Amino acid sequence: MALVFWGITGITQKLATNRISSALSFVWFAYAMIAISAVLAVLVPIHWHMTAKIAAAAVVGGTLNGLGAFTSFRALESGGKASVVISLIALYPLVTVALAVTVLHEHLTSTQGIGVAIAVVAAVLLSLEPKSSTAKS
Amino acid sequence: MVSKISSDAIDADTNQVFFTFGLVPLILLAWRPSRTSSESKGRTVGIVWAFVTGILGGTGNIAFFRALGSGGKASIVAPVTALFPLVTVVLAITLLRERFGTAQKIGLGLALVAIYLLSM
Repeated sequence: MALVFWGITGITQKLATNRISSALSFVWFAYAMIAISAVLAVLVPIHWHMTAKIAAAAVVGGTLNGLGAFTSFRALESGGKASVVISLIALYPLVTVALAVTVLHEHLTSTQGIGVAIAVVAAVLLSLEPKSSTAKS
Repeated sequence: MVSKISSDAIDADTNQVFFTFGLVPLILLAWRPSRTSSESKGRTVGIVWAFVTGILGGTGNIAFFRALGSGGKASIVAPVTALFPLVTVVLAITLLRERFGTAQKIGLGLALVAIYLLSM
């Protein structure tokens, strides 16, 4: 279900930014998130008691994810193809792996190492926009 | 990394609610008063698509974390779900009529392989 829903959002994001600004798109995207949370708060038990660290991690996670959503709206607004922008964004584990290696001094598994190498090549190839392609899909 | 800390400790629904709190400061930064009083049809349609994006994205988040919390193996759920751009690519080609150069076609294929490997 998540696979399909997240996949469709790439298209709905593009359809939104074809008509309105990335800022307004993001605001209404966030309003929808608030609506979902309001419905959840009414229908299912929300566990408000947790440590400050866990609460902060959840809130910061939301802020960082929101920034990611905003930048994807910006990329699509500036003419990026939905398929290219969303595929590039989905390479975000590359950042996680880089941080894990440099900050946490973790070692890469061979699978991750191959994944990193392929991801770098993929990112470069995806950024090679054909000159004849249209800006707005 | 921060999402991992919270999702390991709290359920999917609670995580989604706190996650939304984190969006509030961004809404305040992004929100601008409308310069025009008239509502054009294109603007309304754009707003609807943006709202649908949030509904699908939020529901997808809950489904993903519920799948992990209800006994789904992370080693299976994470790599399979990470391939969501495949759905975007198929829909972009069929609905938005997006076309690619040879380099981008190879790039899309390699990106899907990389996404799968990095999420394992």
